[in-house]
Amino acid sequence: MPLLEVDNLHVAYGELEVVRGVSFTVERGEIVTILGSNGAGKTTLLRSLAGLMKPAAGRVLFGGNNILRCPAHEIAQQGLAMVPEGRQLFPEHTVWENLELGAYPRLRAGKRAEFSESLVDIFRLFPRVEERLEQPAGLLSGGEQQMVAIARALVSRPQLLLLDEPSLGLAPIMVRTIFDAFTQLKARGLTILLVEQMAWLGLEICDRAHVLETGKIALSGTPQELLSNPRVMAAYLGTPV
Amino acid sequence: MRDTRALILLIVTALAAIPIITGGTYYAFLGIIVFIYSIVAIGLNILSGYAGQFSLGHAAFMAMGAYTTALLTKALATISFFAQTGLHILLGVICGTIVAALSGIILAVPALRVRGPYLAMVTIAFGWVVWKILQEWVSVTGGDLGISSIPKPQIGVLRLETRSFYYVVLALFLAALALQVRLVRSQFGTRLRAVKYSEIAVASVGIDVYRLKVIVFVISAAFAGFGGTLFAHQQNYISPDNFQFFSSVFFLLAVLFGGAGTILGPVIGAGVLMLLPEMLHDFDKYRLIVYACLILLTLYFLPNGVMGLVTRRAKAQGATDTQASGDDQTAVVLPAVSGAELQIENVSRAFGGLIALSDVSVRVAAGSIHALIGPNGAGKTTLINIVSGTYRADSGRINVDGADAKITSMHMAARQGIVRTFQTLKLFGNMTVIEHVVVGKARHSRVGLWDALVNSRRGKEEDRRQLCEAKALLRLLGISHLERTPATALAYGHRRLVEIARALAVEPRILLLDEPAAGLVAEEIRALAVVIRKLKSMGMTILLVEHHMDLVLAVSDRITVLDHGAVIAEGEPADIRRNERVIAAYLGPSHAAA
Repeated sequence: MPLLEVDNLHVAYGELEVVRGVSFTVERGEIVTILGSNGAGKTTLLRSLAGLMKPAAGRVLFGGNNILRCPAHEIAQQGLAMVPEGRQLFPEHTVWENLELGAYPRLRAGKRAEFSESLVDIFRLFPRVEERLEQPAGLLSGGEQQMVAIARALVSRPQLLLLDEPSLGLAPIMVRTIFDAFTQLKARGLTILLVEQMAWLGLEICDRAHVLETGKIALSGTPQELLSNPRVMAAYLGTPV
Repeated sequence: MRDTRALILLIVTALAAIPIITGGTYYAFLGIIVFIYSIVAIGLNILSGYAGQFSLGHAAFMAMGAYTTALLTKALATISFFAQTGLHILLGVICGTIVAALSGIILAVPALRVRGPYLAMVTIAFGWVVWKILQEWVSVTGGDLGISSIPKPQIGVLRLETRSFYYVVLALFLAALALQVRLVRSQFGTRLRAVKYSEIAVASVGIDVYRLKVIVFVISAAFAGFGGTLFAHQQNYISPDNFQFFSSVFFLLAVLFGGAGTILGPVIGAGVLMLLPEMLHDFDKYRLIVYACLILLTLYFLPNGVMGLVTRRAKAQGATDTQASGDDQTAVVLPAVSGAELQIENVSRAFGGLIALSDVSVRVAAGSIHALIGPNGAGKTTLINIVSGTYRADSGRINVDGADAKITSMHMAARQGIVRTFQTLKLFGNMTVIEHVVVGKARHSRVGLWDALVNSRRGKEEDRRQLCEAKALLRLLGISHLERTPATALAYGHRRLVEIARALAVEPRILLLDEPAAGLVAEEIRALAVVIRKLKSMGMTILLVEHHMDLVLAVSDRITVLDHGAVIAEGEPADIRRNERVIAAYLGPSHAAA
């Protein structure tokens, strides 16, 4: 059984349908990338999976449970964590407090030991986060903020991580660091659904990819298949000259 | 269009028929009060609903108008010339309105230095002070007893009893409504609405936001004062009780209840909140509770007020964000620009103990594309903030064409032709894409408030010309298909392009682009590269902060690399990508190999 099964999902803003009948699956332990131009519905898709938007119709099975129209906090507690576009940290809280908030359900259940355990893993992945624990998140550089945002999602010990544009506004060297971390997370068994504008990056680390165009999946395949597709080359890859 | 006209005609006819159908004066009296309160609420709506500046002191402006006309007309009524011609009433109404407007200036100049809740507090204090003065300055205001036997309304020799005064007030109310429509639909109104969403972005296109806010505050106070004068003549008796804090709250509630920032919201709000207590007479004891519950429920279930229900339906259409535009970007012709040389000399800036920039110097040649790259947190955005007047530098100079630009504020920078886009997008909420560009045109607009108020032909022509230019800019950026889409419904990358379109509308000589390609896919970045080159060919000087190295290497003439607030390298693209320090700090090994 796939970890995530999206079946004929429709999402609309008012009358305007942005996601128009999308179906795909994500198997345990794989990285699936979604490509698409602006306005194709990628962010809307992720937001509705995380329960931040109410889909109009369809079915979303997560670990066998239908989570369509579940409130966001319940979806998060079932093990689906999202790192939103633009990071959305609590800027005046310290990094430590941001992480504690990410682990809120676990801490409330009195499982501080589990929290500390996940932190050990996370600090191994992002030593910079440990160095910055006492600083307000808003004062960190963009790359460090992205690390904290990912760490905040990881402390909830998710089964599935949704990443919306993790490379946004990051220096090339920082993008590399972050994407290397995704590969490492995958090696540890985490399942990842990634939305990324920098298609090269997204294709490089994934097992399968889908191209979203005007709210529908226009193409699917392995990275090799998509890389050899001239249409994908022209629209999402190629060099900007 | 035809339907709305017919509807308006129908409603006006119905309003005009009320005194005739109901007979007696009770309903005419209620109508007058509703119209007067609506006029005050319309004034507050322009300020709070459209410009987003909340006032909880509008009863004080109403009082200014009421007391001025009461005192003046009572004094003049003793002179037979005035008593016979009725000119004292006219004079009283005009003076009352002017006094209210002037007191609006007196309050606005200091109060508008603060925003949001602080502004509301200052206006509360103002309302309180005025109310106290009315109570205590007995020799002039009559203290708690107020002023009685204020002259009845009259036009010429004709004394107006309640039913004829009803028609006068109805006409004035319709005029106030029409004035509001003109105001908010004009360019002035578009700027006003933009202020509500981002004062910084409004300043960035060269508009003096503070001045704009003072003007709208004064207009709003004038509406309230005008309403106050009518109120005084209608009631013949006024006292401080009429202008308590609760009255101010009433007006703000009316605006929120009816729908802040909608044409009819304040009218519906004032009407319902005014008439409801009358209808609840039977519940006497529970009246206030019922009243309060109703307001609470409305605000809870209709956060955008009663009018929000109507407009929500209408809004859903229009957005077609999913199609490509098909714009031929190369075909767009824009006027040539004389790009200026930008010289950043020894600029330093610290935030507390954190040194963001230390002794940075960059020379950007006129008409060139100069990229500024560096790791996150290197100080790139801080430098843009300083050049654009968002922050002040601790030391150093910014020269434009060799002369010290003396940049003291964002709007001053924009007026010197230095315009920026924002890395953290600052768009105007749900305003449409084209409206963003129109706001950007403000500095080149020859129409002002006056053209809006009188609906001048010059104003309409200017509007049309600017709309045309604005559309050309959208075509240049390939987003003309999104013209009528609210910014909130745009995808991230398109929002970036709207930022650029708005900045270009200012016709900059030096354009500062802060990560314009963030969130764009390769095809869109290619299109952006075409735009940037086109701007260069027009003569514009461009300072580009960007992380997409493909774009940077492709378009830049020169590149400056910042790290930890200092310049670590400068040169041509080919040299920079091979520079060891740049590779270590920024590019990483993989990029250098490519």
